[in-house]
Amino acid sequence: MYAWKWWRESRGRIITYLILLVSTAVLFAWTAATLPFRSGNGAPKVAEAEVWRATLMSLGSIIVAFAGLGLGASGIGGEFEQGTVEFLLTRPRRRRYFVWAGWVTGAAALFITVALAVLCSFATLVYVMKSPSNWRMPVMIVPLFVFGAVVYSLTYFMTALVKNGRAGLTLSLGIIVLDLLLPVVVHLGWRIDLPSPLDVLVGSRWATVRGAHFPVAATLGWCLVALAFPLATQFLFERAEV
Amino acid sequence: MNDMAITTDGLVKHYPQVRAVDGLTLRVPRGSVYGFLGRNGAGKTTTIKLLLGLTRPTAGSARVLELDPRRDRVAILERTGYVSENKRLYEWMTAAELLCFTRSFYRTWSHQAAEKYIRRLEIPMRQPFKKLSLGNRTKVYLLLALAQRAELLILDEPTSGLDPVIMDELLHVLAEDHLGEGGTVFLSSHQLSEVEQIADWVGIIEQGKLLLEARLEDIKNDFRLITAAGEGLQPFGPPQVVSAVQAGAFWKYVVSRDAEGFAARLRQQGATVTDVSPLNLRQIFLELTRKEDPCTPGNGGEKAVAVLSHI
Amino acid sequence: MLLHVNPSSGVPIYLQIEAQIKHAVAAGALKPADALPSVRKLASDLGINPNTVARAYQNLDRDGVISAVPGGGTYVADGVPGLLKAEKLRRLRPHARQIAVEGRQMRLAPEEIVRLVQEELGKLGESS
Repeated sequence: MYAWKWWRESRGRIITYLILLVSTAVLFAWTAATLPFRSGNGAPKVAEAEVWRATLMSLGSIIVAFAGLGLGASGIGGEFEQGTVEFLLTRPRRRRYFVWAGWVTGAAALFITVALAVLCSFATLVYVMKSPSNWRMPVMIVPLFVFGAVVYSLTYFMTALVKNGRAGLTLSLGIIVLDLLLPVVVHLGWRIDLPSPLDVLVGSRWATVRGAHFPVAATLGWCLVALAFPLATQFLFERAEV
Repeated sequence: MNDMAITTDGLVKHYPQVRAVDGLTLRVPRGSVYGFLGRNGAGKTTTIKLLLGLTRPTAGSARVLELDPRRDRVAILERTGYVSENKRLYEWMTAAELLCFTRSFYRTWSHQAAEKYIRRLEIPMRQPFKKLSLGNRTKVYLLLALAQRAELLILDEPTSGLDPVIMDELLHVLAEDHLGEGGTVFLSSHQLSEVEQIADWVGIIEQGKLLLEARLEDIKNDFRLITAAGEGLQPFGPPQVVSAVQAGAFWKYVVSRDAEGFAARLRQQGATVTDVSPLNLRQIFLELTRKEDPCTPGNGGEKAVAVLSHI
Repeated sequence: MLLHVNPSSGVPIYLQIEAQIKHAVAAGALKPADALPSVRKLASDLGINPNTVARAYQNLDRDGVISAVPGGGTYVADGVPGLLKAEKLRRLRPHARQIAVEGRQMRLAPEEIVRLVQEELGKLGESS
């Protein structure tokens, strides 16, 4: 029933993210498939296609990140804000049940959103190209989802920490931005490579739609990070005083 | 003890600025209605939170249904119905949805009972919670606790916003269904007349400690207001005399026991005892918890701070 | 069974119930072998704690006013309550003292006070 409650509270948000992401993904596939083969003044518009692909790819990632932020902010921490935490914690369930039930539902919603978008993109590719050379494209669901899951889990934890959705979201956003910028700065200044959540996406050679390999090690690593946050939330929640 | 629904032993909860519960030892017998009374800020809600495992004690211990709230919280909650002081639930849900949501947690839930209470307490089921008045919110919260058919009900201000008719219905419902089947009620309320109707035990908490714990009948049999006139009468003091107020030649004493003996002593001193009358719960509560007599400022009132317990 | 209790009076509820039942028996409104409502029923009708009703019934049983039949049911006792006369007088004395004290304070003559009591007895009708 907790999953039902979470769904009813978040369905508006999820549908929005779904629509945005699917549109972006479909557009991405369409431009990737059609632009390089269209001739402007005689020459194929490869450069233009590249720009479009990069833009839509970034846009897609940003939407996934926003979805992670938005869904994480409606996590268990929100119960404190609503004043319902007292009611919830006087139901006969372990506190960790509520932490994980909430997290799993949000993660599942995120996964479905990402999966649907990628599959629609793939379907568009198949539709346009009739026989695409890249059947492993749907595998991109995994790194994209892991990226989103990291943002989601971080926000979930932050919201529980400060017991407020909006503050949790802002803090999480701040940390993400920091975590994206910092490796760049460190790389440029000291030539050290820090891990960054973008690794799962950038390292996968998204520039072309062929070769759907993604860095498995980095993805697994960030997967563990994504799981560490709800664990930390459980630790926090079990000790919380109401 | 096996026949206690709730016991605490030197329970302490200190916050940085305030000692909310400061060595509380209370006993709630099974099958009783225990009226847990106290002024605002006396420590009632904190005590309840400690009993339900919402907060951890600083020191001391508690046992609810013979279980430790720190270790067996879930087992206690399966058998305990709770109405919180703040009547907040999910704003977007209707009472019907809240019912559905809550019932999924309990094996002992009775849908028949729920329907009965919806009717008797006149609960609007189809409006979202945010549109409900305080009284209706309280009713919904009560419904969720009552339909659970719990052994123990812990009710914190369960009459907030209720009109007299519904308050009366609630008492009838408690008497019929819950108490009739041997359930226990731990009731914290400012509505002293309602408490007086249904409680058989009373515990008064002040500044985190128990001031008094006794059967309501015994308190009412023992406490008396004695009016006497005479020369040279003194205030006397605790533990027998709870308060002594002088007005002209008359003294009014509130005694907590052996009123006859006290009256006899007064007569021996040559005073005339003009009246010995009983007090109701509200009057007794005021006598024990009011700091100063408003009628004679500066009097200070001899307040019985010692714990009076009748077992 | 028409009982009415006032929870907010200084008198404990169980005493009020006892007094009303005793009064009804004394006045003949309740006759020997009349059935009384069960503890649970009376409690739920009045909206009070069953333990309170139980205590009242226990006291009335001890005083011989009512008796509980094994197997269920509580009835008004028939015959003379099994108390010694001395005990009955001892129990009644505080009430008598109160009438005496108040009557004296109101400057009533002893004969007037006695006549008052006789009138009240008369109103109760036949009593065994």
